[in-house]
Amino acid sequence: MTFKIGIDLGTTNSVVAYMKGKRPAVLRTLEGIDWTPSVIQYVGGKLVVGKRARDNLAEAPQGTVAWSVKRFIGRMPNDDNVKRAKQLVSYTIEPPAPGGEELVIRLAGKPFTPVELSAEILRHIVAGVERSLRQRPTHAVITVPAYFTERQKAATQKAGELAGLGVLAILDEPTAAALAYGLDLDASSESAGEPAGRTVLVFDLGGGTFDVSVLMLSSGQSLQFRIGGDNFLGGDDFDNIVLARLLAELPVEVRREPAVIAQLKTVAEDTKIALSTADSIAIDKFLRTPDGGAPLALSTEITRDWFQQASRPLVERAMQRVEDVLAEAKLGRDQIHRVLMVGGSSRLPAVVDAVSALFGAGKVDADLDGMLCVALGAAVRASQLEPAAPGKPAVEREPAEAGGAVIVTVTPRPIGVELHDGTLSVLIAEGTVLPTEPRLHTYSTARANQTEVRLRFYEGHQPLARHNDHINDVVITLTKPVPKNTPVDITFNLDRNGIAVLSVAIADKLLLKDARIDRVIPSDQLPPPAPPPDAPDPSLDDVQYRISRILDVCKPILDHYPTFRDTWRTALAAIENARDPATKRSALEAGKRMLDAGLPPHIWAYYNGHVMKAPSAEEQRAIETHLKRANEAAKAHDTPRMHSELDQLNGEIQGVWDRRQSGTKGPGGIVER
Amino acid sequence: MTLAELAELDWTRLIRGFAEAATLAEAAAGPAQAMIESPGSAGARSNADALRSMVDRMLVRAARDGAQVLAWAGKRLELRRVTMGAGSRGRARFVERAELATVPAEVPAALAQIHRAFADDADRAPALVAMFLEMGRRAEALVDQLELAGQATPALAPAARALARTLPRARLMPFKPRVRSIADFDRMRATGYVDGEPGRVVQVARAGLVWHGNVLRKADVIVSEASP
Repeated sequence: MTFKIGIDLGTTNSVVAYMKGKRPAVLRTLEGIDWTPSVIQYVGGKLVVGKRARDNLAEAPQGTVAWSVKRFIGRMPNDDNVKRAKQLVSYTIEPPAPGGEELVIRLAGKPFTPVELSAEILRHIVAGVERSLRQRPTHAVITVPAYFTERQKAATQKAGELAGLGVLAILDEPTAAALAYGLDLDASSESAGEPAGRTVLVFDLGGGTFDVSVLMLSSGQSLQFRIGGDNFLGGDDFDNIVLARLLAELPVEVRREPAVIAQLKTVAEDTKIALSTADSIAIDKFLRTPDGGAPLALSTEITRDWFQQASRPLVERAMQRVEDVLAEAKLGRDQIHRVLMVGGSSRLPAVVDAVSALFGAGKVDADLDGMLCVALGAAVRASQLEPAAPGKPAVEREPAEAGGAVIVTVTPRPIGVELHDGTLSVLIAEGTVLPTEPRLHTYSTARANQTEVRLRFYEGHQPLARHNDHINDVVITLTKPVPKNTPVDITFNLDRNGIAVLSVAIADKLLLKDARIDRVIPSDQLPPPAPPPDAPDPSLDDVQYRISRILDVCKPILDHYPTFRDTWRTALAAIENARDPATKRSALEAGKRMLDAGLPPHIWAYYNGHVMKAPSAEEQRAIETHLKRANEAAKAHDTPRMHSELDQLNGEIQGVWDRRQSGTKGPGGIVER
Repeated sequence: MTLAELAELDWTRLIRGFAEAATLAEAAAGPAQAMIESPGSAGARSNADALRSMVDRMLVRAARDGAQVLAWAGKRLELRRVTMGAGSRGRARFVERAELATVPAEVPAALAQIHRAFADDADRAPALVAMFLEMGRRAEALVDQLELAGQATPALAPAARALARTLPRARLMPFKPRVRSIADFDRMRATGYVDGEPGRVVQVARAGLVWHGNVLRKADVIVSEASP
């Protein structure tokens, strides 16, 4: 018998819901709370999950408890997000094992992948549902953040399957929240006589991440068209403000003790929650000392005013992200009809006040419990889908039968393949409705006598492929060398869950059919072996080359940008002249920060004008003309004319990129590296 | 007797236990053992006083929270039950100090989350039971805290023991390993389940008493019951 549930697999907490009659309902966990802490402890050869694991945090030996596993699922070691997230956890994260594709989390010496640990959380949730309702869930809709890449979605789906669930859909969290609110929206909109189409902003301040999404709701459909936020802003940051205040009350020598911090973490979280309803909270707490000596006594009072003041920078940071998303979506505040508050921390009075001030209190909707509404929406979505045969996507039920609005999912960001010149050629444009129809894209080999074709897939808005999120590589090994300009046909589509499926034909010969991009194992060789522990950070490998290349390419105009020239030359000299590995690494990291911050617009245009190849001869000619004129002006020390040419060049390159995003494509070069 | 009535009775006993522990803490005297001093503290003696004050504040807060919830549920705390018997004067002082007679009928911040979970219910009895169980969990934590205080100031140890003794009197302890949550409550007390839709009927038993209860999804707590 089919029993479907919706799961919000969160960074900090996970929630499960099911349809009770025609309404979604959250199911309490075996521990008696509405959510399961997404925490796993490995102890005595067994994995302990949820509240027990979280309660044990204070006293568990370091490196035996994992939390925030979601930050690592489906990510690669050189991902900047992984590097930052590593700083937030005390357990060990290692590169994938030879032959593996997932990072390795080591708990008490035993290796686990983020997929395995997520599956364990899901298993715990399923067991709880089964014990409470005496019925085992068979299928689930699992939610993920809107910014999750295909690879991360696929990893989440795999975790669900490992937990014994048939995964009906991977649903993005803002859509789930809208769906949860949508049930009530329909009724209220009729009574209020509001227009059917509306633009909704989902403000999702969770435990560890902050997501802003703008959704179009029209005729019972949801179309998400802009996302943004901050992967490193969430309730934990607000907890840490209180935590820092509590630690400041203790003697200096114990403030860095992990056991003391762990004991105070729960107090900090409880205090933050209580300050949502109380003006001040008195805290009296005895703390165990790490050496088992006399306990510490902590006695203080925290007021809401102080907390609001102290958390103002965080709130301002969140509001800036909201403004950024509105600007990117070219929307004014008055064009947002409703703001849905999602995530436990969206209840904080300072946050509610700031959002209300920006949009007007009448638009802010916090009727549902922010911590639960994503799971409620997932349960609604599960009720709209019927399981299909294994390996096939779930079947949509009739809206009337499903009893709710139909959700249409769209791609949040473009997906493309890297070309020979390093730019990204877009295969699926942003905002494409899922599932997409298979579509043929024709490229050609870039070199003579190629024996393999390496396709590197990325997701993101940046013109240079490597600046986007890497999804996966597919390597096609050819039985015999092919000449330059041999056609490479890529048929690419996304299924309902946003998971990519592709076929590749080279010289009209089908070499890869209906492969899921997240699971494709390069057909030539095993993945490269894990680097030795002391190996340099791979992302720093090419910093020196990139800085040197930029300075080299832009040399003719550099004298007109002395500050840039001097700063970057100094950075390059620091790398070249470093005498020991530590100094070199430090110089490389400084260089990488410069590269990550991006080039000034004129330098960017000049550099890209040289390195990128426009899809049409006409566009390429225009670029070259502007470059030539800019060079002449630079040589003649005619700075205003040079600026003017570079401005036009910038516009030309942006235009090429925009046309690429919208799907216009010329013969590309698919490159072997 | 309904579970809400039982919770009311047990909660009263728990508050009496808080008062008893506070009375013992108040009477505690003697030098404190070595303890890491908080900034601004002046010596061991004042530390001992500070600890006693802390313990008293913790107990006052717990008692006020309980009395507030009872008042919110429309069941005013019977102060007579708290003060009667030997040592009544000390407990009466505690009642006065905690201003238990005049607590507002509102849910304290510490239990606001449970209050929200039951926001749709007009009937406050299920929320009362859920909050009582949460308070039971907190009372266990409070015993732990008092034991810690007792390590620093041995004179406070009797207060910890008194509160620990109260837990079984508040009928929390028979449900070992520990009543930690509402779900535990459900699991530990239910002796038999009858299959059915959510909202299933369970038979609930404890020494000398048997109920049939109706478990709802929202909090998996027994919300209505009738003696068989």
